[in-house]
Amino acid sequence: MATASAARAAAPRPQESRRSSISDTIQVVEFLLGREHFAVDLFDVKEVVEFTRITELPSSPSHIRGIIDLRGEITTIIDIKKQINILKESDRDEMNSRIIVLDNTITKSKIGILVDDVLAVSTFPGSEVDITSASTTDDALIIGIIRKKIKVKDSQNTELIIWIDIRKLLRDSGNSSES
Amino acid sequence: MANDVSKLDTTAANTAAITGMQMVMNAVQSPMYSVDDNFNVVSVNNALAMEIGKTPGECVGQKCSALFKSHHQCAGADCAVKKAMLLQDFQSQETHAQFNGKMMPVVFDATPIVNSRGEVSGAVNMIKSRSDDQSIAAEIAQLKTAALEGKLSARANPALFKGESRQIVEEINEMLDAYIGPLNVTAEYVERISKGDIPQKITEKYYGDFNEFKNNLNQLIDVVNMRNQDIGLLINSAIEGKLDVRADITKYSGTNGKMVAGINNLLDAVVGPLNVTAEYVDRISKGDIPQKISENYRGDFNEIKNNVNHLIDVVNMRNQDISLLINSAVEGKLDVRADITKYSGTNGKMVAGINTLLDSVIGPLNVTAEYVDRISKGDIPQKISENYRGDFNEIKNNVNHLIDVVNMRNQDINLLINSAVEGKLDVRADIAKYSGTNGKMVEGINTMLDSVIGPLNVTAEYVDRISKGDLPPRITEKYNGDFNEIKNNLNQLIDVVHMRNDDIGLLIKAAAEGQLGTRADVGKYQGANGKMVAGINNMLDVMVSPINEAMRVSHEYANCNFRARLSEELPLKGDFLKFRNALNDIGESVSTTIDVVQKQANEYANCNFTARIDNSADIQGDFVAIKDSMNNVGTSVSKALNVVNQQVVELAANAQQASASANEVSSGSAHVAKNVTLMSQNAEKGSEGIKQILKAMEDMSANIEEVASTTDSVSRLSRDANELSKLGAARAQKADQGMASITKSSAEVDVIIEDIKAEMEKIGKIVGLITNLANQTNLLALNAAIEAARAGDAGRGFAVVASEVKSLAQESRASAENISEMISKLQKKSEQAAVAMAGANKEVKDGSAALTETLEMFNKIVLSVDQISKDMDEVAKASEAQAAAVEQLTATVHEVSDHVQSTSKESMDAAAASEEASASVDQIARVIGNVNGIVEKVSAETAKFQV
Repeated sequence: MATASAARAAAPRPQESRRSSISDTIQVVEFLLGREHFAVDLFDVKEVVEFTRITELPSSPSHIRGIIDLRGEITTIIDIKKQINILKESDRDEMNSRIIVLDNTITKSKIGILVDDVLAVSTFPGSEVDITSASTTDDALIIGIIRKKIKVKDSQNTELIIWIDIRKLLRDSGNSSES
Repeated sequence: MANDVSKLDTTAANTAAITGMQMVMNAVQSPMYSVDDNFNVVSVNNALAMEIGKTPGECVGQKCSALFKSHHQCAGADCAVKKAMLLQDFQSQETHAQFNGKMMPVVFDATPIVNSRGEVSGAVNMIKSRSDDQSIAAEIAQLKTAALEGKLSARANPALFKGESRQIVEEINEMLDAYIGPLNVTAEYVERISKGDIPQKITEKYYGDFNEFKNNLNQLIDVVNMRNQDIGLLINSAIEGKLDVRADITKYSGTNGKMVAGINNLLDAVVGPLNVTAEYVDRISKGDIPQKISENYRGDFNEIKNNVNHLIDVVNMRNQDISLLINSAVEGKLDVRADITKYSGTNGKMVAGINTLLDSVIGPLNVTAEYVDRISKGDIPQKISENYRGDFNEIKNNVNHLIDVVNMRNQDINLLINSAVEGKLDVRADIAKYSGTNGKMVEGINTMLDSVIGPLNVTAEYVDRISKGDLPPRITEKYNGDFNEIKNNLNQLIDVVHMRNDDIGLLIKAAAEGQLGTRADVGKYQGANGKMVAGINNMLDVMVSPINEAMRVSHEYANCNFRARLSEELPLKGDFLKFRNALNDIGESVSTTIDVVQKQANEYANCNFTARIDNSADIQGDFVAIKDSMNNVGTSVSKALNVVNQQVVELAANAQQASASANEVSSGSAHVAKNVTLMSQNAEKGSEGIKQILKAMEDMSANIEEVASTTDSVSRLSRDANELSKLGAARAQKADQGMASITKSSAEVDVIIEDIKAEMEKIGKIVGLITNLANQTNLLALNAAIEAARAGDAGRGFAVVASEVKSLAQESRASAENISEMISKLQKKSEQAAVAMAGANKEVKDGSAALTETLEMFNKIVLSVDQISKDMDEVAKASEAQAAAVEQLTATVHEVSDHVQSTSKESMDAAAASEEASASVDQIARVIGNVNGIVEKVSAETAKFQV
């Protein structure tokens, strides 16, 4: 897998242009892994479903939890925490976790990612997104950090949301539709 | 140009000023130069230099006349420059000047230059080409010609001109545009309006009078539109038949509304008569024939009126004729016909037709009427043989058929009548050959015969059976009318026969059973029906009265009155006489016997038992036995008396013996009395000693009494203590009960708390459901927001919905959490309550335990008191026992005393007894004496009897 991803990493990527310039507003789906907030692009998401019993597949990598039947379609479930090595366990029951089903445009097969909770669908102005600090290389998983201002008892706090590139994640796990 | 140029002063300032002026002049497009007062050119502008074909520098210093030639004499009287300098005023001169070989019309505008001292130091001259002016004039002339010819689009060509001229030309063109534009617009609008293509109102802004034009045009458009609308309204209303609609002409000003008003009037003029006609036609169509129209109309309307009136006439005429025909037909005047000659055209066709109709109908009708008349009178005519058409043929056939049916029916009726007269009651007519209800009458006669003969047969059969004595049962079938009478009469006959049989049976049975008083009730028979039974009753009476008399006499005999005899008043005849005599004889015989027996009995009563009944008395039969018995009595009694006499004698002898014995007994008892007195004396002595013992006993008794009373008071006290302890115990019981009820209440509270817990658990479950629901809703909101965002603009509305759903989910979750909090609070509270209840329970238990202990204590007290009581009782008993013992002792002593006394007494008694014995002996002796007396008496008595 590593070689394959390295080979893919060498190929030109069309997202580069996207990386460098952020449009006026971004629309993302915010979710929770462990205790941190993450976000993925809205248009990469098809829907959010509740946790159902996952059927494990033998001889599959550790980050692939297994498959579920989503309205007649077999959907592969990726445990995103395993893939990006978040060890912090959520204090929620696994039955309360959610599966973000990804849009057909970014995967050739039906894929869903297991997250601890889906919080909201939000729009952020481009000004609130910091792209320079988090991503070390163009190829990083993290696109940027979103500064989310939330009001907590008369004072305004800023929450940091990690905006990740789901396609990169899929490429790393070898499930992308791109070659 | 009042530059201070001081007479060609070529100082620096002057030069500067000249340069300045030069600059200014260069700016001017028209050729321009300045000269000093000697007509030397000071400066020339570029425009002039160009015209001349020299440089400005070459021109300076020369005379202006050298530069160009003018028409007028230079520096002459006409020279504008000169004049200007002379007159110190602006001068304008039209002339010609030659530039570059070309002579052209120009205008010289000269202005004097005055220095600061007020001296004229020179002049400035501006040369304006008049060729432009002339050309302009030519152009203007062209424009004027074009305008007069009406070619409004003609414009001057500014390209031919330069500078101001061009400007002027352009401005002339613009002026023309300004005039002609609105004019064109007006022309175009008026053209369109004239062609009926009403344009929109002009909205552009115009100024001044043009605005007036615009307003007027717009007003015209308004008026035209309004008029068109009104006309359109009127037309459409007329087409749709709304004939009342008229346009409102008040909104028109001046004579604009005339046309519309005219259309209104037209409509009125046309619709008026139309309405009248419509109304008339409507009324005529509804049969309400109106009066002829009398108003005057003009032109074609008058025609219409005449035609309507004519129509009314024709309708009235026709109605009258039809009424005439109808009434005549109704009154039966079948000959009446209407006169059709007074109708024109085909108006009379209907009435003629009715005439013909009447003819064609009445002919056959008359025939039919005649036939029916004959048939009704019983004169059955021959069948109709003429040929008719259509339904009339039908009528003929029907009349013939009627004749057939009538004949058939008459035959059948005759048949039935004859058969009935001849007594052939079974004959019936065949009704099958009739169709429909024609056979009904014959069938009816059949039925009538059946219904008459049926009952008749039944009656005959019944009478036959009754006559033979076989009583049939009552007829139960239902009959109608008089048959019912027959049936009732038959039934009544059967009833009467039954009744009579029953009565006779009754009387026979009663007689057989000896119920001689039974008579039949004749009252229930009507007429002479009861005669037989009444006769039987009488017969019975005749038989029974002697029997009753005989019964009376027998009864008398039974009561031993043998004097009774049958009454002579009884009308007895024949065998009854024998009966009476027999009974009377019985009485005779018995009376006789009784008399004889009585006589004999008297004899016996008089103690003459020797008398006997002899055969002289006439006694026979059974009475003989009585006679013998009476005699036997006398015999027996005599014998008995004899025996008695003997016994009395024996008795006297025995009495003597008894007397002797009594004497012996008397002497013995005297002896006994002596011994007893001795015994009595000894007993007295014993008595004294006993008295002493008794006294000692009494003392002991008193002591015992004291003990008893003390124990009594102790007993009383212990009883009180018992009472109190019982009270205490009761109170404790009550308290215990109270505790028990508290325990019960707290148990109930516990139950309630448990229930509350259960309820709260339920609520908790529901809250769980709500939370679940909120989660699901949240998920839904998220998905909805995703979809809305993906839909972009189109999904904006949906996005709003999604956010609403999300907030709803959040609210639900918040509510669920609230409720959860409340539930846990409640649970804590109920726990506290349970704990408090448990604490209370413990207190109650402790209290209960204490109470129980108290109760035990009380019980123990009660027991102790009881024990004391018992002990006291024992003491009392013991002292009683003691007292009893003492009593017993005393009693025993008394007994002894008594015994002693009784011994004493007994001895006395013995003495008395012996005395009594003596007395008894005396008595016996007396008795014996009595017996003797009796014996004597008896003897005396028996001596009386004759035996």
